[in-house]
Amino acid sequence: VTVGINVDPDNPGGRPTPERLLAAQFEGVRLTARDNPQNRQYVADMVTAGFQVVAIVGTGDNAGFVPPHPEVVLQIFNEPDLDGPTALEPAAYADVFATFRATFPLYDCWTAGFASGQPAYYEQFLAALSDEHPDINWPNAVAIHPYGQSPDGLRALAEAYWNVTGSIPVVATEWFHSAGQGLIWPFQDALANPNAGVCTVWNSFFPWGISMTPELGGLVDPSQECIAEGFELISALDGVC
Amino acid sequence: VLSQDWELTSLTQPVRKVVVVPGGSVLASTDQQLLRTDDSGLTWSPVTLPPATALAGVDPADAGILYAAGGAGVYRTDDPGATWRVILHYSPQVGTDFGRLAISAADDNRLYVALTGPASLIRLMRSDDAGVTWQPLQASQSSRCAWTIPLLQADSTQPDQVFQSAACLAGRTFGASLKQSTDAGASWLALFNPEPYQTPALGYPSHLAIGPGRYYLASNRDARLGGSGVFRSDDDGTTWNEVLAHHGGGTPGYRQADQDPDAPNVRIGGLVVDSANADLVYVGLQVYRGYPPVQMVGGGVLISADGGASWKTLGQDLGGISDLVLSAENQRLYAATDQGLWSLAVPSTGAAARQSPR
Repeated sequence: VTVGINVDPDNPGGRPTPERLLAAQFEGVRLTARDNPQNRQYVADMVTAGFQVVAIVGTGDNAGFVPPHPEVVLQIFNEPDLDGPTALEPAAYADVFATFRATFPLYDCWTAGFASGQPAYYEQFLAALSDEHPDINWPNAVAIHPYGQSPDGLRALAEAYWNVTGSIPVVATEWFHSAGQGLIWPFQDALANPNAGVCTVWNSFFPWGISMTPELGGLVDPSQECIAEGFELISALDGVC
Repeated sequence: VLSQDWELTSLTQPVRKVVVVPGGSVLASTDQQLLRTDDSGLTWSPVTLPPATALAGVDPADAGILYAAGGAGVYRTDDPGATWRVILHYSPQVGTDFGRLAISAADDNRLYVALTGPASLIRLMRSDDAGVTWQPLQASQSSRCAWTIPLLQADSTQPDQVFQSAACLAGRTFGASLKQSTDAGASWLALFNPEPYQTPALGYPSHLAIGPGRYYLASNRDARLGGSGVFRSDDDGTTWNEVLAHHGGGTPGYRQADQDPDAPNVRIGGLVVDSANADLVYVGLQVYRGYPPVQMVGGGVLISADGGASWKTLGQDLGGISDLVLSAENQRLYAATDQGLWSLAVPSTGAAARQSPR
């Protein structure tokens, strides 16, 4: 299991160094790929340091930029199944996925993080991909964002996505619990424990820094000092915050 | 009232927003244009807007002063649309997209505006001179989300009191706080849903109606949970009681314990209270089936004459209500729907009602 962390190289409070992440026992980073020197260098540094990089493309301010490192996983779009500004019909999302898959054949491609709790969207997306783009390979993983779920809810949700095909791994590319709820450890265990695990390829907490989402929280404060969530999660990984 | 039927005005295009202006005239926004009636909906005439803009607000004291937003920024006209001027230009330093505008009825030189962008930035500003100069109040940046500002509302009697509800939408977001400032936006206190990430069932506050000694707040739950609520406070927002609850809809992964999976997802599109009688309150509904909630399958207006203790349907089913306003001047309710603008005579009210934000 690769345990990653969501970062933002373009946010001063959201770009931890490789050394900091190695000490914390993280093995991967997930970020929005942007065509600017800072973002490019951050991805290059992480790849050099041996981190698995998951790059969100095709949405927000990505502008179609793909990091020039084929070992980077492309996560195509973000949360298209939500009722909101990122909403896309499953067939339209299949078109976006197929475009990236066809244009960048050397890269592994994961689905967007599905956040609706509605596996029917995923089914409809796969059906549209098969019908409209029969030459395009299916995703290497299906991603979920199990926000607000208990460990049992996470298991049920992940199993529902796994059961759609029984062959595509389920990964959790964003999840969060606040400190003091007693859920960070059991949630991480459900994600990462080979015996109890439901997302046995990858999971990544959101976010690294509270600066990335001030009202939600994070692992570190704006001065990069570890806060309660950071101590709870990173100690669960046997790392140093 | 309950035996009466709504009457469709001569405006029969889908109406998204409706505003009663001082004197009782009505402005209605359709997908194509802004229209005005001075005869309770018998006839309508277009109001010219700047290119690529929409109505953002109406001066509570002067029917000739309108605000629009879009294009290059926030605009104002003093001659009901004949000429417009930009009072706030968009820029990366100020904001690149319109969020919401509030105009104080207690001092119509006092404006509050929320702008978003670039990226996941939000800024709140205030003008004390009708838009000639602006003072920054708040700025916040998040990552990987898009701001929505369902509510920014100035109090009608106290110019320094203002309410807001804003959320940066993403999968992690299930609701927002209602915040109040009593110092013209310098500082804010969460009145409702102070920890929205911990209490997803409280949803996103969307409409605040203030009656004598009472607040009503409508809140739509995140679509993954489904449903909505109307909450009442008799102590200036210190405590709230839910007086109208709809807990249908949602997705398999997020239905709450109080959820009825067979019930439709009912959301709130309008909320008004009689300004002279805080027990008399109206709620406009939007009924959806399935997820995501994109196709309205019904709606209508509910009335309570006892402060929310009981509710009855007001007139026939109009379909989904996009907006609801009360005109005290001509004692009529106006309901915006996909079929057009409907009106209904209501019992005598007091002074002009204080309604949800425009």
